[in-house]
Amino acid sequence: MSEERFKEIFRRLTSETPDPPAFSDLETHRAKPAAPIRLKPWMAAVGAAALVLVVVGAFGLLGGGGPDLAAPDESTIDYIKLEYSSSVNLVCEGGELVDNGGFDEATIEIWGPNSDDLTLMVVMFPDGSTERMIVEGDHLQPAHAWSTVPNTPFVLDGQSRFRTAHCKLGDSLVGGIAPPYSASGMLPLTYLGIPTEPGWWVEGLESGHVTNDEYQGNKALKILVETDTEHSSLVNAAYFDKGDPMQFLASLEIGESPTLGTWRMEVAWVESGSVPESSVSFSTDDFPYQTEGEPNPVTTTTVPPDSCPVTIPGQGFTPPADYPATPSDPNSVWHGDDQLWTVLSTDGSYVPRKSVWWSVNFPGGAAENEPPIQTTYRLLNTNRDLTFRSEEGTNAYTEADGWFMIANIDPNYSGCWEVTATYKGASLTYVYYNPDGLDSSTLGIVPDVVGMTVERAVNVLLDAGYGGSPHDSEDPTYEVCAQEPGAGLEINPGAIIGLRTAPLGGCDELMDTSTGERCLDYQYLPPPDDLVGVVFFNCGDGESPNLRPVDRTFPDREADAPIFSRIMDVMEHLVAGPTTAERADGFSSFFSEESAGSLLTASFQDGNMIVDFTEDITVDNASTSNGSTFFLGELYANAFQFEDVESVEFQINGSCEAFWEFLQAGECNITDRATWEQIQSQWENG
Amino acid sequence: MGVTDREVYEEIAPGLMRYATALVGPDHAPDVVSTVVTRALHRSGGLAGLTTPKTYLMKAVLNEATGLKRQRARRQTYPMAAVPEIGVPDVEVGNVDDLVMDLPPQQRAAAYLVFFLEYSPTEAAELMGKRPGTIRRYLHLARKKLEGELGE
Repeated sequence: MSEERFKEIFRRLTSETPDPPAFSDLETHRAKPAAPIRLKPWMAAVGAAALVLVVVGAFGLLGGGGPDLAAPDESTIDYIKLEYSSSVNLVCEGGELVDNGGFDEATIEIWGPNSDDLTLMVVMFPDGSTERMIVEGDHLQPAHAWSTVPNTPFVLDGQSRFRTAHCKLGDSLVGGIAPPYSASGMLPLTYLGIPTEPGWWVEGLESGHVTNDEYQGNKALKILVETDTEHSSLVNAAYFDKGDPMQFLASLEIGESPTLGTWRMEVAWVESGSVPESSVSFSTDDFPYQTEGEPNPVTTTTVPPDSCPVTIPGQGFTPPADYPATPSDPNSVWHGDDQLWTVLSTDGSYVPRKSVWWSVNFPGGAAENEPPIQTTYRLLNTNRDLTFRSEEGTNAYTEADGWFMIANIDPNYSGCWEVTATYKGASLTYVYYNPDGLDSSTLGIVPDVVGMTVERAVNVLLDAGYGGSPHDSEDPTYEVCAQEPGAGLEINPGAIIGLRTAPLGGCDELMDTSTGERCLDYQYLPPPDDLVGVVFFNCGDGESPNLRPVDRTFPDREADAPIFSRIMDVMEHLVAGPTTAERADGFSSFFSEESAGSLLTASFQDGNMIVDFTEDITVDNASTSNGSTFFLGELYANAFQFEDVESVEFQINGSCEAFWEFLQAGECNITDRATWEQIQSQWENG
Repeated sequence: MGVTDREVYEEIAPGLMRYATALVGPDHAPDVVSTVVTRALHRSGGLAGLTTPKTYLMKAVLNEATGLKRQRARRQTYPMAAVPEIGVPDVEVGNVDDLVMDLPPQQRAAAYLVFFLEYSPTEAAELMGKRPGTIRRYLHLARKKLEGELGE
């Protein structure tokens, strides 16, 4: 179907475009409410790891009803009351339904933030019991949190008193070994996003997330979440763009899943308003559980099995005088000796966390940015060798705990784990028990994701420890045709798994080598550390370049590497050419081992990128008319993949003229993005 | 004195209406535009307070169109477009238009922006809040879908 045909259709369709509504009519809507919605962005999110949790909006005066209004000259805080309800109808065909039998209903009340930046949340369950929490500061990353219970209603874990359920799938859907596939949810949940301004809520109106039949009448606001289990997992969080609420809303797929059922949550506004600050107590005296930093007041109370020799640190260890005598967490003590020590809970309870270590031999600061501390995690009581090792750590500092080392992040898998750290000849081991987390029986086993949508496949791989975010996986119309390595192999989580994807029903064509398009959708799942990128090579043997990305990892790159460093990474891989496997898959390039190492340097300033090569870049046939098209195409595609690059200048040994002389194309040419897009357009149009 | 809400609206409204018409048809376009503009006016700062009002409202229209399609699907009140049998090449003009209107809103938006308004995929991506690669795939899928339906 040609572009002209589309154009003709849209011309017809838009020829009937009505006149826009008169602005005066729209303004009337705005002025209509007696007390305009003063949506005060509220939310509280307290969660385990990076899980974003509670999202609650507090809405301003809606007129009538609600709590007592404060006198105009009195300090006030906002208040909102919400009713939460959920219904679960999980099919779990071929799987096991795991349901905690928690409450499906609750009343939620929220006050604040007060002048001390505290927000109080109270949840009342149908049996009359309540759970309370106070958070300080930013609602997403509170500076401090206090709770009346170890597992607050705002924490997403199996201890919640809210209903949670998930389908633990067997072979029928996933094939091979499937991890527990969570279809669970709680509370005014993550799926509503993180509204930091009133418009975020309003944007959700009638989009399935927020409904309000009388919105323009301004009488009530109802927040509705319907989610199918196939799209409700954390992968949505991975794509969540905090800066763009609409993108988030648009990224959700709402509907029923015939294979997994439905989960429906509803949060309905009851009342809201402003109350005198003095009328609400923010005392934390009755809140026995508290935390700092990334708030997770969860403490594991499940008794470990006898076979798990959990380390109980006793009275702990007192470091030398220059170090804090006790950890900042009052429920913990130091464990170890002055050569190497860590922090453990006094009762042996443990929640997976950053692996933190202190030593008198660690100078701290810039003197040792990457301390040579190594950690080994070994899963005990299993007949499989499940061992993870880290190679080096990073330095860290807090006012309360001084300089210390972060060696790793504990694996979030259930079971009895032995942790051993070594640093400058010292060694320390402890054992902890994690009753929660992911099912360790699936750990290290590559699941079968062939035949799934890309998004679903990524979910499964994430759950199995092979995380990553493939390009455009929000599109459910793509499916996975093949994966490398295949299912059933035992490899270290975090390793790269290649996926071949195609539009639904297109796998046969993709895998047909006679089409010459095998590299069409070749992509890798990057490892979790995000030190990844793509390198564009030509695909197939068409008359015009067909530049397709292959994913590469850059293990030596710093996470916050500047753009010139990133482009150098890419160019280094480019001039080395495609791998043997990639060439076998249909990729081709002017670059190869012959040109490997020809990158000298790159610089970036004010949108202009300069990339300097050695003479080894002057590969055969690149200067022919057709050859230079492909040669430059690869260079441009890789340079302009960085959005900040507005123009690019290529040089040989510092000379732009030398580069273009090699191509027999005259004087120095600095190519801007618009030109690059024109070139691509010409290719597309033949 | 800065630009007013009215001035912003009157500059953007004609194009926004055409966009909405392309996405939801002429019957629903005024509602969609009214809804998103009214919401924007409720924001602190109104339309004039938006950094890029055109981009904001176009994304909002697309979201609204997507929501509208979902609502229709849920209520089962949306008349199914007359889909010709696969392999029948001669499709009446009205049916071709129906097929385009039956594309997922995201694909339809991409086709409208790139094929009709001749934005580049990068520009369309900005207006839709997607990546350029996603836009290209939407276009690919839209073409494939219609070619399949039309037997081309």
